[in-house]
Amino acid sequence: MVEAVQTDNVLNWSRQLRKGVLEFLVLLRLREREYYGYELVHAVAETAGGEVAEGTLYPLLNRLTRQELIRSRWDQSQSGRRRRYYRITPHGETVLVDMTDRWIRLDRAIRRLAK
Amino acid sequence: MTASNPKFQDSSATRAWDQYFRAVDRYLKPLSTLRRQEIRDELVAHVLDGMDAEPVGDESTRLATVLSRMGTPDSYLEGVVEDAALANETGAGWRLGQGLKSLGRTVGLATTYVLGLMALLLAIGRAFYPAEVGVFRMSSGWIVAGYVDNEGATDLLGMWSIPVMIALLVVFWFVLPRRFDRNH
Repeated sequence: MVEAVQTDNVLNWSRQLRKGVLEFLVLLRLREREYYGYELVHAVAETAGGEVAEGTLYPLLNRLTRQELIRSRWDQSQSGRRRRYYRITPHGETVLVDMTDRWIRLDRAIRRLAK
Repeated sequence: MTASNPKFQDSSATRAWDQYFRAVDRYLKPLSTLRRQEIRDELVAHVLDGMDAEPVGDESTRLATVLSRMGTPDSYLEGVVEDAALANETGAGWRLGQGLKSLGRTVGLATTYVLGLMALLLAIGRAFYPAEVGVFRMSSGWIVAGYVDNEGATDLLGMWSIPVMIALLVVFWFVLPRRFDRNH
């Protein structure tokens, strides 16, 4: 019983953690290259351990676009399907450098504590 | 140019698609036509890409798998509409509707708590002062509720009203507020 509660706690914490770093992961992925929605969702899910409800990424992309951290363009794929392609903006890259720096510092601090 | 609905061979796939995208359209209604169309087109492309990537299964199985991975439209589109509302991109009618909904919820909640409190007071009063507390028909013919001077009045409630009031208290304080929260 206690073990089950602990597992639930860890799972909830892990879910919240993933949700919290989703924005960071999207920006990291978009720094690599341009991605379209479906492709990006899967690239992010792969990094986040596979548990990302695919729909949840669209509000995030929408918000990042509003904040001018990313931008998008519509294009036709080879199959003839219209897709929206996303890429990081220069402002997004600046923000990402700051986020990465903070992440590394947090990671170091946690590693020290967890020893 | 906008993405048109795909033609499925399987009628159950068509039904599932229509049902899902009807819900998408309903949630996106507060947005401008252009924004609505952009988001819809992107979701359509996503679902079709997802179906193409599914290695096995007939149309309706592959569609069901992709839609379940997407999540229900309300679970992710609410955020899009809220962001649009913050940026003043939703229509005045929708904002007014949201305001009235919120006001209705507050008034409804306050009313249920007050009614619950009245039921509690009536139950306690009835238990300790059964001759004075309750609902009475006065000699003038008026029906009066509460603590009354019962000279010549007829008691309209028996002691059975105490468990009824306690039941009403539970409904007003514990059942109805949850419904308000769920509908929020």
